Amino acid sequence: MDTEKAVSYLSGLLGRTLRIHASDGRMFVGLFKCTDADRNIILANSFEYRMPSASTVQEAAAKETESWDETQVKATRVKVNMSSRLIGLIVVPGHHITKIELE
Amino acid sequence: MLPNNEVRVPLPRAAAQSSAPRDITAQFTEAASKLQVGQLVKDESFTLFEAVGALEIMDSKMDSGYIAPGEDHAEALEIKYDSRQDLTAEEVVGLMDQLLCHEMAWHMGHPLSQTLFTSIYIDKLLWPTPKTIEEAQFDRAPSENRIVELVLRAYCLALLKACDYVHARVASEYYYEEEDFVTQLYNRNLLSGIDSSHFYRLLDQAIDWVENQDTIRSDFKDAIRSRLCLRREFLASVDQDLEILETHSTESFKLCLNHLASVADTVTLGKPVPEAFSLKLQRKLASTVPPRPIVHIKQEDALEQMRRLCQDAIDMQQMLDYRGPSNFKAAVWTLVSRKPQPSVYIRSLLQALIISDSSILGTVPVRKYLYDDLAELVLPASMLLRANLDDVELPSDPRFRIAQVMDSFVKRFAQPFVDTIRSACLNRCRVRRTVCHTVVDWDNLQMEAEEIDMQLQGISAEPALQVQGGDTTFSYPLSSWTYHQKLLQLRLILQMGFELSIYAPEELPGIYWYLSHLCSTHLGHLDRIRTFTVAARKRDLVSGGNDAAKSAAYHRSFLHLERLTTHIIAIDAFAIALHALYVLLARHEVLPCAAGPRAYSSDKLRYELRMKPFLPISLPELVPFEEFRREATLEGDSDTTVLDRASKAITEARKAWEATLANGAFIEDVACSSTTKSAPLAIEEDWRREIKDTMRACIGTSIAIETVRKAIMGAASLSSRQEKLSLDVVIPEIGSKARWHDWWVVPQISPGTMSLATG
Amino acid sequence: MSQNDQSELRYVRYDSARENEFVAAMRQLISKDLSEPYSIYVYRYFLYQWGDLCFLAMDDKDKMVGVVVSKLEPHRGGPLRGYIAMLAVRGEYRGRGIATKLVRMAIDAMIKRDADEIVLETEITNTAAMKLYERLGFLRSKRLHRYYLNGNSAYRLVLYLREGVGSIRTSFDPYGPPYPIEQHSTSTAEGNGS
Repeated sequence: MDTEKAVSYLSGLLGRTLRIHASDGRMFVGLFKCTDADRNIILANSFEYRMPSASTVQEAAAKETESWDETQVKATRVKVNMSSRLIGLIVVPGHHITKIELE
Repeated sequence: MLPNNEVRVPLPRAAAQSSAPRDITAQFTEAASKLQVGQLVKDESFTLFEAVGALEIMDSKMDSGYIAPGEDHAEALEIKYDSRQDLTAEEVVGLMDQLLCHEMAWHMGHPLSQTLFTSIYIDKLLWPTPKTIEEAQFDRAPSENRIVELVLRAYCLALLKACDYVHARVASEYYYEEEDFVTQLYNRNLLSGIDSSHFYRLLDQAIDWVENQDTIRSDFKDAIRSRLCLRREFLASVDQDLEILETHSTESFKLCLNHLASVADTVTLGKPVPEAFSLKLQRKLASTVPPRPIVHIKQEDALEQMRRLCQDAIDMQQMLDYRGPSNFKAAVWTLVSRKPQPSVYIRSLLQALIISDSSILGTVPVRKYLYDDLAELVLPASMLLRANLDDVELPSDPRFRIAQVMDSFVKRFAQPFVDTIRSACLNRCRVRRTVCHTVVDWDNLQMEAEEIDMQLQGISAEPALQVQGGDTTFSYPLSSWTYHQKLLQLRLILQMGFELSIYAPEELPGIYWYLSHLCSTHLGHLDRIRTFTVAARKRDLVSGGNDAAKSAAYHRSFLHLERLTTHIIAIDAFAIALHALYVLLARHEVLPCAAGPRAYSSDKLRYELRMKPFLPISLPELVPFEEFRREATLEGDSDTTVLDRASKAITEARKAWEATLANGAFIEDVACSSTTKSAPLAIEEDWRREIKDTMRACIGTSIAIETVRKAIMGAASLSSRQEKLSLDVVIPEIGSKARWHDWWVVPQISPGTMSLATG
Repeated sequence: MSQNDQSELRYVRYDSARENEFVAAMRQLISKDLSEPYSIYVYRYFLYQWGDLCFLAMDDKDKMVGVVVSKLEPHRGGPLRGYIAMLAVRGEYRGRGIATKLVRMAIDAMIKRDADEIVLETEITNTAAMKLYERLGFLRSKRLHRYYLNGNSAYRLVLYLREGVGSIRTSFDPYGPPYPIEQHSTSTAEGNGS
């Protein structure tokens, strides 16, 4: 891939929803706005998803039908409810990124 | 320093997408690695400027979800605190007081995420969002501990409901997000959908329960009861805060004060429960701002904040009887100028009272308020203000056309006029900034008013008046009134500059000169208005239209003009004295100077910058720099002349301030002066204190002038006229003891070491 | 301290060829000094567009000890406004005039590029910064209530570099008669174009 191709590939992703997994296990979902050579990625209107703690899972199980503070993430590998919250415009530094997914 | 939140614009929520995600890590990483250092791939519509507002993930200062390496994840997220656990009475008292601190910190402008929302109890009550009062629980299974279940829960719920009312009140008025108040609720709801009756019921149950407990020590029972009662009264106060317009009663705020006193007496009984608060809760809140620490304010500060809030609300009642526009404005201005400034809730409530149902104080239609103000200043008993009242349908009747023209005037001027008093309720920095902007509008309004004046002149066949030099002119009442408003605003811009500490010491001579210059312009204008009012009165008497109502209107107008004149003379004279004093200090190089010898810019450019709000104003025109420089330095005047000028002016100022004080804060109505002359009310007390502080500043200035006189005479006798005077000059900061009044900067002058040695 | 006093300092303009190294050092310096947090893109924003208005002080071992970051662009279609965004000097190097020197370099560079005015904000608790800028001729133009994340208020400091910057008036008639007596004969003329 030469620079020109690289730019056109990345440009093609602009405005699309990316899921970025960070080194601490969190996932960020938002609109791709910008990146650089170090993969410092800017996402707009993003949500933070975090694996719930063990007790939260239990609590959630106990509650069954009651759904709260949780958003169903319809990802193939994410089957539990992750707690999510709006965090807006963010930069995920390249060296903290473990995985990038395109929705 | 650039503020972090420069461009943090909220973006619309993205539409939910449900396509299966594809791993593009490898392609993305490879493509990115091909970019040059510094090369960006970015959305065309997305600017780097917007990027400035992005929060960096994994940065502890910006990422509210960040968990430090080494910190256990489960530990970091898990809230171990059991909200069903037993609490002792002293812990309940302690928790209530901690919660009050957080509530008041929020009132002071800190976000909920750093205050109340760090409470585990509050979090449990609000999430998941309860639809009914029954759903608002600390836990699914109720605690067996009744003091938690009945007492603490009722306290927390009533507190949240009070916050809901406060939130709604502030959010519906002019305020500045983040500056004054943070309305952000982080996707929580402050029980806004639940009727307040439930909260009173729960509080009453809790109070009853406490009464009947034998196991709780009586001092704790009293402490808990007073806290529950405080919650009850505070909730009632903010629940019905606008009803004061009808009831004129501030009974519940007064009861709050009583309960607050009992709370203050029993603070030491409480035992804080720090484990019941956690910053970890911030990691659950929807938040587009960086993480921030829990705000801890002192218990006595929280109690004082609430005490002041209640007292301000009580004192506000005193302005609810409408007794004419100048009295009303004086009351509002005095109240909002209190130090410390009334809280944002109070200032919002005040705005709501000022203009409610498009009436002033809910009773005086805006048109009447505007007309009353015109009558007081320029148009007492004038046909122009009566034309709308007479139901004239004959288009040939001049009153018909006058009514039409006056309607257009009201349409254009009512809103900006009400806004001038409403914007006084903003925070002090914003008051000045707002006036800097609106004064330009008023400059334009004046031109419009002139045109309306000319139309009215023709319709009403106003006789011309001969003025000095034999020219004839007309009264131009509406534009005269507008010009008066503008002069008040220009003066406020200068005077609030002192209050906000924006002037460098070397600017003080020039600013005080300009202040006196504005005052003399204003005095000239009031003279002109008086001339026309006198003429109108004479015409009235000649034409025999002298009834009691007219007499009273003229009386009030003349009284108003007299009071204004006295006040402005007082400001003018004091400004002249300080100007002269500062000229001497500058001349003899003892005035501290912020700008260094190698400063950029020039005096002329700094003058242009300082006077920027005045630049677009066509009347009064900004004094050209050369003239300003000559005047501000009193060029050509000897030290003796300047000293005499200072002494004379300060003597006059002291007299004029005495007279102002004697005039009182309010115009007393002739009709009811005997009945309302009771003990001075709190707002009037504040007003008097302010005038007395000004008089103290006058005395300080007299002394300073004498000190400088001695130093100059001493230097002259030693024939060292050219030398720097041996004086130490300190410009007292706002809040320091020697700064008697925010608007009057009196230099502290003491003989320097040299003159101590010689004399 | 005395050791530092004697060491040689070099003042250099930011060099985009050394971006990675410079930006890392700047971030470290600034995050230690200023209360507000900034992401990598804050630096990008300034350096990519106005790298020539960024100046650095380096010690004899090429270690960064001071930095000033600024920008220059028309303000609301009006005057060409310079803005000093960040200024930081390592603690142990303070009191040697490094900050003043850096700010002077930035101002001089902006003057060369025809700036009309320069503005900045500073926390009201930061008296050292305020003194520094006021010594250079800046005036406090307004106070900004609770401007920063930590709840502190700020002053906006402004320096005019050219006459007429503050004037937004376009069609004022300087020969118009003064208020109040004579003015009315000609008062229909448009007096204010702003």
